Amino acid sequence: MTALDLDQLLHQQHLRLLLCVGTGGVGKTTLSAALALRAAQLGRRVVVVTIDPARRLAQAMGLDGLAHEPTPVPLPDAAGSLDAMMLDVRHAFDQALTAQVPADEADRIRANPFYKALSEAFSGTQEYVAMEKIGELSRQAEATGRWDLIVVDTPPSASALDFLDGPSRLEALAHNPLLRVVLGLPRGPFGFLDAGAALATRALDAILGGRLFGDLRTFLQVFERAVLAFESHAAETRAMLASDRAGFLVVAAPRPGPASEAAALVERLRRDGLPLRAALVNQVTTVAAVSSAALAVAASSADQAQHEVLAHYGRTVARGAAERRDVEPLTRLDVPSVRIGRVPGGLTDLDSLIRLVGRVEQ
Amino acid sequence: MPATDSRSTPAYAGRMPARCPLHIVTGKGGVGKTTIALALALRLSRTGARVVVAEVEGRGGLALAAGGPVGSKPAQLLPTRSGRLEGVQIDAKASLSGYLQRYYRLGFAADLLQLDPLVDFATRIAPGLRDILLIGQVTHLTKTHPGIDALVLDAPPSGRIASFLGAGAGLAELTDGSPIGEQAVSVMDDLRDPGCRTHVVTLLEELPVTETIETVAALRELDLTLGTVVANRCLAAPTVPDPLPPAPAGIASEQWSAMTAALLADADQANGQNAWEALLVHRTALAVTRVPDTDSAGHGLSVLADHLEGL
Repeated sequence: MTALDLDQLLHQQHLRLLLCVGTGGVGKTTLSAALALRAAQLGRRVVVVTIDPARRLAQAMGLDGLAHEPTPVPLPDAAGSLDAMMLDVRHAFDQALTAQVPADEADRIRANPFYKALSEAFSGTQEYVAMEKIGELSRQAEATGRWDLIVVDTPPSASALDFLDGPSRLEALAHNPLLRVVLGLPRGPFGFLDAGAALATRALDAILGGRLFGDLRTFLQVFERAVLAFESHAAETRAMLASDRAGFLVVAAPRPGPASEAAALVERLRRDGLPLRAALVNQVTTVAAVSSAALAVAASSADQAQHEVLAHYGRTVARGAAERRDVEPLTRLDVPSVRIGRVPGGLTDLDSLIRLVGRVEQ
Repeated sequence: MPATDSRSTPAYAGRMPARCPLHIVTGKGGVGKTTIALALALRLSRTGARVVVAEVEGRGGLALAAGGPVGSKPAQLLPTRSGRLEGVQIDAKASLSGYLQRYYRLGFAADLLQLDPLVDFATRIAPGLRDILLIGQVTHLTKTHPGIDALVLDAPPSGRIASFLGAGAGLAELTDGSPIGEQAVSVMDDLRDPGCRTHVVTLLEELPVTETIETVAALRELDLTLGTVVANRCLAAPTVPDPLPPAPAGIASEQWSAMTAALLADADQANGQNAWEALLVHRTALAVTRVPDTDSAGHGLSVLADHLEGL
């Protein structure tokens, strides 16, 4: 595994978009904030999009109120600037969907049970909205010159791959031939589906009951229009994600599950031709290097108190070794990587965020 | 286990089919939910029982933890010294098929399932339908497999658990009178059975603790029986000599100060964990079971199972 210089990466002026991807619980949100802060120190004009930050982190970033629009974070000594915003999925989805209907219809749509389910529970909605927000911010950055780097914390999900798959899942749903039958839209070339679709309609009606089935039709008509509107931007955003103006950082923790997921994600990004910049292994145990000869000398003369410190050191070494074993699925892939030490006591303010980037172990 | 609990037997005798206990395990993403579900199943199997761990939504964590594929029929997951530890994957598609066959005797159900769009559609978009099908399949397992002594569900993460387990309540309201509405009502009854308990896995850190407190409140709102809160990856507080000793012979002072700083940091973290535990107990009024940060390789699971003995 080759080490990567994070500062050098953040200095690359052609890099306009940095995405932190990985499973839940590995510290994506915190790392996104820390990277954005560091980039601002290095002179970049940054906007960071975070999703559901811890309260103390939000306070540290000045996001204590609900900042759904980019809000400046005061950084007196930075060469650049930092704006931060929280992505409220529900709010953004609401805006996008109800923009497609007349105002008087909007309330009825919001009360529709299918609309509620889709905006709250459907895996794919969050990713879709995040993707839409990325596109919107890059267009704004280009038009106004307010930012030259967008840092994105991706939504928490069961599988890290959801960020890539979610949006197309939502689109597939909108282009679903069955859905078109239910709506009475032209079906395209799949005439043979007709018999099956009739059965399907019958079954749905039987399972859901008439009232819910009626709600469904109403909802789908709006949904289809909204997804078509989304799609007009999606291609542009996808092209940007695949270009060398973008960079993906795969975030992992030194445990078997997250490490394997991160490895799968690295392979997937490579297969899709997306610009993977580095793997960040977060929350690692940092171990001071001491030779075994020196330890043997120390152990032979140590008193009780010194033995306590030496014994703790031994446990730390063992833990570090176990972590290295656990991240092997990732290290095997020969991706530039950065190891970041665990921060004792967690993060409480901007200073500790800066120290986090300082804890990079090459 | 001795049958000392007089509540559970007579109330259901003759009214409901005998069923095995169901342990639902949830927690914030990344806290080690799947590992704890497996450890709990291992602990339950030690009495010679046949225990099945069920995973929903095809998240694959179970297969990863067990080092092999998990299929749609219960099959051995890990070798055990006594009892059996099996895994099963509960899939929305198979659940829909099972549901259609069980309740409708729909001859065309099989053909229908070849229509992927329908399955996608029905199981993804209809509010709560997918969840009802999945839970329905799980509770079905507790009733229809007399050979299973206990079922452990590796459930969706805590951010989604209340809407997952509460799907029945919402759906029942929307679909009053329709067949799926009846299914929704019966699923909620099953989940409120005293034999079904929900455990929340957490880490003793700010975000997971906050989410656990919210989750417990939401589950209480649904009238579900709570089990215990399992605090994963707990550190044993290291002994810190006072005053800190000087560097022994052979160790440079710079190295020694790094070593003592690491010791102090771990002691701090252990103290911080105690504070978060106290807050958890205070806010949830539930017992917190601490399990250590084990080396994941080798016998780690067995060590975790030892610590779950009281559950």
